[in-house]
Amino acid sequence: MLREIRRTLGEDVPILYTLHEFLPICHRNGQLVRTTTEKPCREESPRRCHECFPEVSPQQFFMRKRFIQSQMSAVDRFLAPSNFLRDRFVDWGLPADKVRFEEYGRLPVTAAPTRDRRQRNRLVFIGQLSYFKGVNVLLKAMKRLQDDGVDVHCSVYGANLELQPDEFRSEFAELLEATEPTVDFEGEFNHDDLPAIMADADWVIVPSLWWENSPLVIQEAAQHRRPVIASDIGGMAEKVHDGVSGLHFKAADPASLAETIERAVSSRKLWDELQRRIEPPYAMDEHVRSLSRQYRELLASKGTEEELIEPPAPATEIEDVRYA
Amino acid sequence: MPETEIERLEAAAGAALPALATMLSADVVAVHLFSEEIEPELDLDLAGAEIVELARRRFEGADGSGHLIVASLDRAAPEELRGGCVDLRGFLRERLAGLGRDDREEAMDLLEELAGGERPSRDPIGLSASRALAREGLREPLAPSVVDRDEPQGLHFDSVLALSETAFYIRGWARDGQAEPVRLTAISPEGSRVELLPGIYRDPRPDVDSFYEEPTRTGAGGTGFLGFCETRAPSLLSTGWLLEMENALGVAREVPGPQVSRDLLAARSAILSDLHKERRWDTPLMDHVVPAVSLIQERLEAAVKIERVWQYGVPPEAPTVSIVVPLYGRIDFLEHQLAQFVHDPEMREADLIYVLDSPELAPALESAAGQLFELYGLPFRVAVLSQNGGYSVANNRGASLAEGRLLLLLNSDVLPDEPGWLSEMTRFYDEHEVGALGPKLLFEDDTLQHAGIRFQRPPDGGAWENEHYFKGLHRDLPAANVTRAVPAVSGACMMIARELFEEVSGLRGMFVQGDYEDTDLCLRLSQEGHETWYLPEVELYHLEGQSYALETRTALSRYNVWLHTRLWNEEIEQAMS
Repeated sequence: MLREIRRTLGEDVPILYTLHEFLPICHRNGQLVRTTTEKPCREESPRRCHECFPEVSPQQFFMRKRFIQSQMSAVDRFLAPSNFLRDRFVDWGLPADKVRFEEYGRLPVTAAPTRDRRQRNRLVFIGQLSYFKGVNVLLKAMKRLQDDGVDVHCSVYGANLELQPDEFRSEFAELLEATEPTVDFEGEFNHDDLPAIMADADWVIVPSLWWENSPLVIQEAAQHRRPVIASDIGGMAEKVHDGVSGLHFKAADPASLAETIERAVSSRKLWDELQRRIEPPYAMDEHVRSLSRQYRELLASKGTEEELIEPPAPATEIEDVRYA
Repeated sequence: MPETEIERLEAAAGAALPALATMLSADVVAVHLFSEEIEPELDLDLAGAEIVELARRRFEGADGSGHLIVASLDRAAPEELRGGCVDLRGFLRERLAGLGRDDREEAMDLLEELAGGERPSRDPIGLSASRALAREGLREPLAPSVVDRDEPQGLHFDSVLALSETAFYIRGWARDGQAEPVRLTAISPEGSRVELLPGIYRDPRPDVDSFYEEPTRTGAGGTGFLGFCETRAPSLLSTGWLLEMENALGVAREVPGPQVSRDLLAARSAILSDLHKERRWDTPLMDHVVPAVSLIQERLEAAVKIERVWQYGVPPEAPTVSIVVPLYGRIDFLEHQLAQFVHDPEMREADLIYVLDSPELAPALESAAGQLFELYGLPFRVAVLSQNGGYSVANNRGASLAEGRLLLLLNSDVLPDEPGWLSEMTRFYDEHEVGALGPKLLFEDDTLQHAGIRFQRPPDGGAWENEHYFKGLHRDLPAANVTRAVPAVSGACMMIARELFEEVSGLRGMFVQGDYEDTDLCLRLSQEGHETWYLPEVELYHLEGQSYALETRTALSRYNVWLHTRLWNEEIEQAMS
């Protein structure tokens, strides 16, 4: 595909490629989670990939990698929305000078009002209801908190439950039942409702079992000035600074999450401090300027006449941006 | 005035009795003629048809001196000749059946000489059928063998595999509880006799021995027999084989044979599976298996033609190197290689030839190759073989198209690590005037797949096996990074001057399906004084063993490794000492 794009555009036109996920590296839909142990995977190799997929030979994995790399060599520059993702791709074999960190830009949003309460004990989960997003880890933590009599509440928003394997769905249903009324399952949500959802929450929980790239929900939490409690791995650990703008817990560990939540909801002061230090997300204007500048750089390095390329429209005129 | 040519002939020879003639095939005539002359002339003027006498025999009978003469015409016999001929049965009955046994055998011998002669009939089937009729009319039949515990002689003809018109691989068993068999003869439907003792391979037949309630006979005294044999004249008929046995007391029996099987591939696997009976490469069984399989390989190879050549893109002008890549079983390797080659500007200068050795994949490859050329823009050719020929044939056919001064034999599952490898090999090859040159080959996990090949055998003097130096050790192993002469290199990636390759007639097809041809080539080069070198500066990945099923390889490799040792034992002993 990339080679076809290159062939169509010719050599004079720069190609920038924003890396959103790890599909080129990992045969398991880019999850980077081992099928053998369900633990996040940091080091791919033909042998290790073959361990995850015994029906695919190490030789085939080797060829897959070489082939994808050959296709990707048609790209002039890669943009990675997290340093974690950038490092993974450089480790994998993309030339380091070709991969730049570039966070996703955000259009300005008015922050949802904070709840006028003494206690900061309302949590929210927003994301796909899948195994890798760790929602069941959250529910297990909530069960512990409920059993310990901690005064806390969590709303769960998310879609695509019907696409998940039966095993996951039945565990999710059982946990929901066991955590009633501490957890409310709200189902799918409309993005327009996000300010209202945020207005009703103090903390945003991101408990993913896989590395993540640069989760949009973390940026959204920052825009609404909600501290995040996140797994201590990958893109989440990078975007949420433990004890500064949010809290980390040990990924995949319900006990660690329960303990962290208990600590979070027991002190209003902690919430205030974390909230104060949340940095505003990268603005779309800046993002667009950076993209234009990088594109011009590449044009210049290829010696292509700049006039041939239409300038991008100013960011403020972009409407109706949807973030999945 | 004589009315027919035959009558004219009688008159000319001053014959006492009428001459008799019969057509043995559309263009071969047999004439029996009584004449006092020692060597009567066969003088037929057949409306301009050229007639060449092929053979004759003289028999002394009560009626005078009979001459049996066979002659061939340069075209089908004219009506006037055929009109004067009798049918073969009548001919045999009237003139030959009454002769003594030795004379009848002489007559059959004459027909065999004719059929095996240098001037073949244009109607070989007709000739075969006539010979079969003659065999039945002239042969002295023996008592039929009956397989029964109370009968001391037992005989069975299990199978006849036809390898060519004159070569066969046969199986059966023969036992004699009365006296040692001294003669075992297979007789073709056409009457060609093949003496099987003493050369035939004897194998144990516990099933037969237990039927006769005897202990299993092993070694040279085995009850079974099998092996390669050749007839003096072509045998084309599928039924009518016979087996005769005679013991030291003169008791003889015969048994009819089975229908002939002519499927070469089935014959090859049946013959190769016989090797399981033996443990050592120097078994006498190999004296039978090698000529049989070599002949099959030769015939299979001869049938493989380049059916079509597709050219994609503009071929490079005056290329230095021709790269020959056989494609077998999988065509997806083509894109994997192109996707790597495209990063290397040198590859545009190379004459890249893919040889499709799986013709059934031609339609799929045709549509894929065009798209791949569009996408990668690297010129290449595809030669489609008429049928599967195996590794050596595919390479040889590809090499026959080559335009470069140097050949690079390359497997489709070999991918370069970095650009520049081809010119590096070329430079080394030219500077050092070597015979064959092989680079370092790596497994997908960066361990050594190939760093040159040496030969190794078990201490009991078993077969020499190819041993890759440092296989499985890391690619940076210092010992594997020494440029040096080695006994052989892998054919997965081998450079050789085209002239030299042609001089030694390329890879030998006697090995079955891609094994040991490469070392055989290196050993032949070494015999001609050309060294084989290993060049570790050049590194490629060899993702081997994805095209063949593993169990088929095991069955074949025993043959290949034994054959290789049979061919090269002394040379390897010398090289390895």
